[in-house]
This record gives sequence, structure tokens and C-alpha cells, in this order.
Amino acid sequence: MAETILETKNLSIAYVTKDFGTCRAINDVSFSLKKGHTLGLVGETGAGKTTIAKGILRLLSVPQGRVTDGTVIFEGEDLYRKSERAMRSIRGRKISMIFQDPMTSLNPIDTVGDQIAEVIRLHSSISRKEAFRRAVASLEMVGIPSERAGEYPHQFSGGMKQRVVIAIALACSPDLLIADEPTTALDVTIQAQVLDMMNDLKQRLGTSMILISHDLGVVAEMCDEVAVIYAGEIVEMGSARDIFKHMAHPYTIGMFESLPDLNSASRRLKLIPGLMPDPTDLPKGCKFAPRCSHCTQACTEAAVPLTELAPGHFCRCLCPQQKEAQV
Amino acid sequence: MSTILEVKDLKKYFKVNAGTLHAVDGVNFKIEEGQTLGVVGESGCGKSTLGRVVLHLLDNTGGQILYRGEDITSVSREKLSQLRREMQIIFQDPFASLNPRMTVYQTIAEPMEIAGGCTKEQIQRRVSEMMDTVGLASRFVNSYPHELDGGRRQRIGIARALVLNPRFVVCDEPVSALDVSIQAQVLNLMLDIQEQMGLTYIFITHDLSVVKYISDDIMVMYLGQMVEKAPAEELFRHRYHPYTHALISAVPIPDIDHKRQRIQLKGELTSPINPRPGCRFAARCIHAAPECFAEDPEIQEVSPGHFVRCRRVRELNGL
Repeated sequence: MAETILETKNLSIAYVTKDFGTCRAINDVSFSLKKGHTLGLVGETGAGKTTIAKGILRLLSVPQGRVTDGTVIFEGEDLYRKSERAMRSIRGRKISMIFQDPMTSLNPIDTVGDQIAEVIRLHSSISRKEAFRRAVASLEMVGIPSERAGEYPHQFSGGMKQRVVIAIALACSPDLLIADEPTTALDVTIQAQVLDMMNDLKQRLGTSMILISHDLGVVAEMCDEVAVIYAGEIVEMGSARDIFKHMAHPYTIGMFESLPDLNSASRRLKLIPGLMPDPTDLPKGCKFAPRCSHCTQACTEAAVPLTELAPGHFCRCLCPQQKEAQV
Repeated sequence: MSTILEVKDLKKYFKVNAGTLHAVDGVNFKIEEGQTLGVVGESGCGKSTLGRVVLHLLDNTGGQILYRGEDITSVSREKLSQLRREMQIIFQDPFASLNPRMTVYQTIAEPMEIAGGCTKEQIQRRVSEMMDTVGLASRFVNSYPHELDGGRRQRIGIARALVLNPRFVVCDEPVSALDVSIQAQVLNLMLDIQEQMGLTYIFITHDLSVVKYISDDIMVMYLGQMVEKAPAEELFRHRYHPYTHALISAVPIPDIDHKRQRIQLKGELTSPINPRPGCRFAARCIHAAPECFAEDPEIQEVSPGHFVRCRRVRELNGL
């Protein structure tokens, strides 16, 4: 059994705003990630996927964003007991993050080589020259020829920029990589190239990864474990096989059914009626109850706990559906 | 069925510092009334420009656009504004395409006010009718776009496009900015409305599973040119152009047992500025032969209604 690299325990995060009151963005999220594995966080816009990632790295915007309960354990140590100084040496070296939009996460007035060298120099005391040499090496690792190290971000296409962002994230060989929608802004053929490259690098470097995505196809290709997030909670979690083949939560099932399928010929999509609840005004019971066709009286009365349906397969539902995927 | 729109050798070039950008370069197609033509391609292939040129929102550089037999590139301004009522567009980004200072009511009513000839009561009735059609609750009538989520905003865009009872609508990535469950709601709505009103759509998207779902015919574009066109089912059963193959194989399938046989493309889109003669796709094509770089490939009809722009198509597919 591989050892656990990261664990979140009952993590709860709220954004406190003057105008709209307290927004409970993340509620009681617990998961653990084994070394070398990839965990997928899936869910719709506003479900809280990015907030979880920021919570792990302690990057929540203060003072609005705050962890109201729970904590994050990384390599056996509680990240929320560390000083800000200690966190700075973890970010970028032990845990790094790839942000969603490659167009806005690079500095437009620095060459890409310098931007990678900056990360390396922050985390190790080596000469400028040596740092640049390593920066060039990490560019080559992501498939960018060394002679382009002196170019600026605007000289690169979207796919190439995302490779630069990945090179920055991997420059210090982190143990954990958090990738927030790393290919969402890219075209499918470029997405395919970047995903293959990430899989290849992950295998070579043994990096553990948290992949945030709303694209179930991308998750199927990349992840060992999957957690489905809805309105700030994990509604279903398990191995990729549990989620893709034995999905049990009505929301997970609804999400799969609403995908247009390349291989079927139907003319109408099944859909989940309604919208995700407003996080400042969450329902008392199951958060999905107002949209759920299996909703019962009990679902609306009290919060629904996460129960283990099969070893390692958790579901937050009073009437799990045990649906086998029809493939 | 009658042909509502026919496009012949349509060209749109832009002058840029580095030369001439061939955004749309010799596109031909026909759409029958009530049908949907899906246009797929990657960013920069000219699909949005095509949508705008077809509506004559951008002047074309060459070719003809025949709307119900009439070339709209040469009609008078008055005639064009008449035609525009029948031809509408739904934009991609429901966050950027609505005026933030106009309420839902004002946004939907505006096309009617511009068209003129309606009383206030008629406009009011029509707006509430449209909100009903697109599934917007009447309590939102005085809301501003920022108060609504992406799905509802896109419904406003649809209501506004349909308020004048058009016959032909260009949909430019109408669901790309939406989450899957909302995307499904909006796609079903668009199909329902098409059936009710007998609309004809040009549906522009980069998402192959969406285009398959909504289209009767699909046209695949690459650097301003059509590379393959066929009825939707046919295209997914038999795809002949190497680019179509690569594009379809690149779509991640939400099934963990799916063994993907991905055709990796080398590099990225080449520049559409001053394109060299020869096949535009040759530089990234695994089957490219020397002659592919020398001469423009002709469009071949490989089976009835299935067109491919590739000189090696018969040889490669054993046709």
C-alpha cells in the first residue's frame, strides 16, 4: 500500500462578505491522496473545486476567505500550524499549482526562461546562470526547444504557454502538483498533446497530482481516484472505476447522462433540472435534494452523511442508486 | 424542402501588418430550410468569421451569399435591414454579449423597437411570450444580466435573437461557456425551438460531441477551408480526412475502459497569413506526400453528400 502524501480532514472554508453574508463554499471535505496517484476533483462552476485547491496551499484571499474547520496534512505535517514563511518554502517546491488560464498566469514582461529561473532561485541557492540552465532544461522537458527560453509569453501560442506554466510548476520537482483545469482553455488536439505530456512526466518524476476538471473525459484519462463535488461537499468519492462504472449518487448519474455522447444517436439529452443552490443560502438537508428525482422527506430534513457503499467507495445519499454504466 | 442559404466560393481576407490573413478561403455549402449545419474546427480556423460573413455583418472579399435565392452582398441597405429580421445570431459569451446596463426586458424588447411598427402592449406581450419560450421565469423581467447565472443569460441571448421570428439563426458557440448540466438544458431548448418555429441553424462549435448531437450536416474547417463535409451520422461512421480523424480521436471519452487510439498531431495550427500553395494541413499530416505541399487539393465527393479535401483520400481509405 502506497503511503499517503496529502490528507484533508473535515476541511470547511467560508467567504465572509459584508453584502451577502457568509458564503459556505466548502463543507466538511475529507479525502486522502496516495503517493504517485492522481485524484480528480470534478464538479460544475461554483462547486468549490478551486477553493479546495487554494485551501490546501493556504492561498485563500484574506480576510474574506477563511478556514472555519478542519485542516490539511501534507507528508504527515499540519499545514495550518506552519508559519507563513514555512508555507512559502513549501509552495512551488513541495506543492505547486498550475492555474487554469495560461494567458493570464504568466508575467507578460519577463521572458519565459527568467520566469522559470525565478522559481528555481527562490527555492535553492544557486547562481543565476545555473538557474537559467535548469530553466532551459525544464522547458525542454515539456517539449519547448531551448532557443525559445529568451522569448516573451506573447510570442507563444496557447498550448505552448500552458507548457511553460507546467514547466514552472515542475521546475523544482514538487511532490504534489495541483492542476486546476490545465487544458480547459486549449483546443482538443492541443489538449491531447498536453495531457499525454503530463501523464508522461508524472510517470517519470513520480509526482502525485490533484486534477481539477469539469470534463469527465479528461478525468477518465488521467485519474486513479475521483471525488465529485457539489455545492461545496463531496457527494461521491471512490476509485475511477467506482465513479465511472458503479456511480451511485443521483448527481453523478445526472452529470453522466447530460453529456452528449459521440457514440449514440439520441436527439434529446437527459438533463438535471434546475441550478446549483446559492452557497449563501444552502438547503438544510441534502444539497442536491431540490433537483433530485429520488428525493424523499428525510432528504430535506437533516444533513446527509457520507456513507461507504463498498470499500473505498463513498456516497452522500440516503437512496443511492447503484447504477451500472451502460457501455 | 427548399434551400434557404447557399454560399458559393465565399472568401474573407483581412489585411494585417504581415500580409493578408485568409480567414475564410473559398467555402461552399447549402442549407435546406429547417436543417442544422454544424461547423467545427479549432480556434483560428475561421468558423466565427464564417458565421459573421454569412450574415453580412462583415463584408466578404469574394464569392456569393444567396439567401433564398437572393445575393445579399449586393442588395440595398433598406433591403438588408429587412432581411436581417429573418437572420439572427446567438453569441458565444453570455457574459460579454449582453449590455450590462439593460434589463432583461429592455434587452429582449430592443430588436422589436428598432424594427418598429409595434405598440408598447404588443412588445410587452411578445417579450413575456419569448421569456416563456426560453424558460425564463417572469420574475426576472426587470433583472440585470449580472444578477443571473450563465445559463439564464444565454437564454436572454436566445430570446433576443428569436423575438423577431427569424427563419435563420447563426449560433456561435452558444453553449461553450456553460457547465454540462446547463449545456444540456440549453441544447434541448434550442432543439425544441427549432422544431416549433421551423428554424434553420448554422451551429458553430469546437465541441464534436455537441455538434454531432445537434446537426444534420457537419462541416469540418481547417485554416479557412472546408476539409470535410458530410451528414452527421455519416461523418462519425466514415471519416476520411486525416484532420477529421485526428480531431475526433483527440476528444477525451468519459469511460475508463476506453482504449484510445489517438492520432497525435505534430505542432500547432500554421499561420493563416499569406498561406503557401498546397494543402493547408500538410505540415501536420502524418500522410503528407511531396505533392501535397505543391498543389492545392481538390474537393472530392467520395460518396453521395460526403466531400473531402484531400488528394490522397481514395488511396488512404481504399476507396
